[in-house]
Amino acid sequence: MRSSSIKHVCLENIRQRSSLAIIYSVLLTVIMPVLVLLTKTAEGDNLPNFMEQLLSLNMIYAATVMMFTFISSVSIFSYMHKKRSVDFYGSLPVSRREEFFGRVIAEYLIMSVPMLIIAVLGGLVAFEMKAFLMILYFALRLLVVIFASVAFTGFLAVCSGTVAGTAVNYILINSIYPIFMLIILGMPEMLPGYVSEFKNAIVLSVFSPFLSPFFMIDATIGQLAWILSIMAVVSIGLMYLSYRLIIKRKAESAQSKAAFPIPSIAVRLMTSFTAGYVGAFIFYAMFRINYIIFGGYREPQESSITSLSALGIFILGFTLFSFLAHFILHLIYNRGMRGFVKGLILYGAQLGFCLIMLGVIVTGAFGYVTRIPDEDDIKYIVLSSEDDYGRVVYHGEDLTAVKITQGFDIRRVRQIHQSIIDEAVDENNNIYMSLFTAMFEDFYDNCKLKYTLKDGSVLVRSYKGSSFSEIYEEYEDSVSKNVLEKVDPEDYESIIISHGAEDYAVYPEDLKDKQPAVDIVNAFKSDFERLGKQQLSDTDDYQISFSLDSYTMYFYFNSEYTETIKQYREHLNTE
Amino acid sequence: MIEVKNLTKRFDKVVAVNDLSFKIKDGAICGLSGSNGSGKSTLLRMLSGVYYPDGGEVLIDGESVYENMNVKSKFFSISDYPYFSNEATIEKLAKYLSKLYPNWDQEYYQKLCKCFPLDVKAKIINMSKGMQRQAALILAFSTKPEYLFLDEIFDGLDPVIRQILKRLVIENVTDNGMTAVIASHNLREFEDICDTLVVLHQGGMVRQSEVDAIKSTTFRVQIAFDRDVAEEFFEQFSPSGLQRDGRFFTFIVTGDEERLRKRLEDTNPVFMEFLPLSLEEVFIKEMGGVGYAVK
Repeated sequence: MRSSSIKHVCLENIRQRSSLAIIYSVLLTVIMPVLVLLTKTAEGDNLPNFMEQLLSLNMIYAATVMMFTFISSVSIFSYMHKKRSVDFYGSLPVSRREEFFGRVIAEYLIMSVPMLIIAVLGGLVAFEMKAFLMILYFALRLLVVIFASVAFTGFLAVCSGTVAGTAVNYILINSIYPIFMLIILGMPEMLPGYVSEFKNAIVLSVFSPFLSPFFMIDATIGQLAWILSIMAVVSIGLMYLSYRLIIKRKAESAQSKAAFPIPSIAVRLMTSFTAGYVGAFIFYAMFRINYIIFGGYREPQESSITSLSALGIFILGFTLFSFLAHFILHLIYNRGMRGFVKGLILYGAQLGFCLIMLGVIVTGAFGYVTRIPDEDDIKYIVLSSEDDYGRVVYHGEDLTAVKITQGFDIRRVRQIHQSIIDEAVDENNNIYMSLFTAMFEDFYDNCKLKYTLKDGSVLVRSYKGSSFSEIYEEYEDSVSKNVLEKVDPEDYESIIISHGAEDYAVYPEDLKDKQPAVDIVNAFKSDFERLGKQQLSDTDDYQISFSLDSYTMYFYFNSEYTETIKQYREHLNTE
Repeated sequence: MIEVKNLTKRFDKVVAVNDLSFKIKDGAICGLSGSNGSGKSTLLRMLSGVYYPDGGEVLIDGESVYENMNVKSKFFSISDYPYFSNEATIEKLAKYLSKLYPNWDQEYYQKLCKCFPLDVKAKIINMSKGMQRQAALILAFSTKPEYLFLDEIFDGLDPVIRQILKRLVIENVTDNGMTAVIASHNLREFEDICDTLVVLHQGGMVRQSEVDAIKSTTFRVQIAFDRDVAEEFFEQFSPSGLQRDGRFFTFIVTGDEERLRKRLEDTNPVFMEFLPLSLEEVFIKEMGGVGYAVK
């Protein structure tokens, strides 16, 4: 490839799209600097409210950028899909690769440069460093997302025969891929005890650049770095594929059938699988007596059908709906029934694969469901909550996790674990009946068991419900102590001391001077160390609470906690 | 020189160009004609590197055309429906093409702009079909191509512009040694400008000849006798389109005029006349030979 030709193609395309770039820039300017300024004026010094409004503006900004990137990308690559333009560009002394990559660069520059400049302007008019950084943070991730979207559209354009084909494939893959992945990754959730390790935002974003800014909204910096790195790698991979395919793309594919069937096969597989799963879900729900589709969840009752027929109904629903989706997509892609019988091979392979997967799951995934380590092999068990509520993850460490090392408690945990499995699996070791019920249950209030064995290996299982709550409560004191020891006083959201009708509260997070929190926590820790935990015994006793995230610990103490009381009095008087 | 060697192009089950071989020497103006769907446009697309052949090859100056930028910078191709983007003006396109074509001649461009009655700042897509073709011609000739490929270029051009086009083609051939390949059904225009004619039918070659040779070897003969003569009598001359009106016969023959005259005179006709044929008549005769006759 000659860089001079790429440069000429790039500049020519930027020039051709100058009108679009102007409209795009004006719209972004209205969304970002103008609305940021208006919001700032309206909110005044109320920083939390302003930041909240800013988050919404960032999302609108991202949606606008993605919409324009989609429309503009489909347009810039449409030169491959019109016979007349194919004749023109194909005969110019510019290679196919130079033409394609010149346009990729042009499209990226048209979409990303105004976006970045206007975002920085928006950040500057916010007159607040926190707001500026937030906007910049969003803009920087959009730089990667725009690249991903351009690479994705470019690849689809190379494979498609028409503009409509590119657009339809883009929309279908972007929308169906996340649902498809949620189902694929959610299927093992049917297995009692299955622990999902996948990172939602990362997996869902990879082939859905259009929606990725919305999947990333709650991502931490670490997760974001992962998502963006993976997206960049996938985009480079797609660029490489385009580089290889563009030279093999037949010019006569323009306004005709797809040049390469890769996207249409992917769409067919994902759509028919998703439709099949939805169909199976509907069929199963309709036939299952304890779950009536419009009636919501009912208490489990005796099923009027056998477990095997329930599975049959699931398979029937899956087959019918997935076939229907496959049939409709075949009509759309092939503009008729041509090649339908040949296409059934792909459908059959997909159905077979799904049935094998289902077979593995319903038979307990090779003993995954029923396995509990022998008591003698267990070194210790860590019991933790999977639910964010009531859990403290501090600097990456779960401070609320309970470590069980005592033989008696290990035995109790194993017994409860066994009873959960017995409930899930029938006498024939089948789990048909519990499969889908598990999916309808509340996703929260999960309990995670992590067995560490003497040989160093680890077994992790997670269950819904509160079967381990009794054991968990017994360890509450050690959990509180652990939190008290490890959390920096400045990081608490609130510390409240109550005594009779009086109380004193500090909110270290919002305070510039964090000294009161430090004084009180250090005094309490000193008293706690010296006198141990006290129970409520008198109406004159004090209560202290420490809140962090959604976790709150309460302690009672009497007049013997002199250091704490001294700090309480001092700060109360100062107030 | 353009060399087409065993060239084949298929679209699914349809063979558009079938094992085609011919050469066009430098400085020639080659007319490409044929029945509808005979593969003219497909052939031009392969000559200009748009389509990749399924078999055989196209060589220009001994080099393969497909993805060969060295060769591609030597020619300019105008398709049957020239493409222009929504924003394109002659001026903007000229600026772009001047960077791509090493032989771009800005002075010649200015001269051509004056030659064709067009506004170089106007959007080309808003122009009429004929004006769009003129725009394409200005840009094509400005690149000073060594090879020029034109597909149905005469369509939509008024007689004055046709004359200008012919003059420009001849001027570039004589002054710069340009080679032109013009695909058209308009054989009348070929008579004025082309020195070679290639006739295609169903993707294959029907005839490749010098236009002058065609004119000097194909005649319509009108002949009358004072006696009854059977139609079979003329089979020795391999006639085509034989028509009879009593003792008066009309037919087309191919061959050396003097020798044919002598042989026919030996049959003692009372009247005999050799008339020149137009290319269109030659075309119809040739197509009749491959079963594509007027019925």
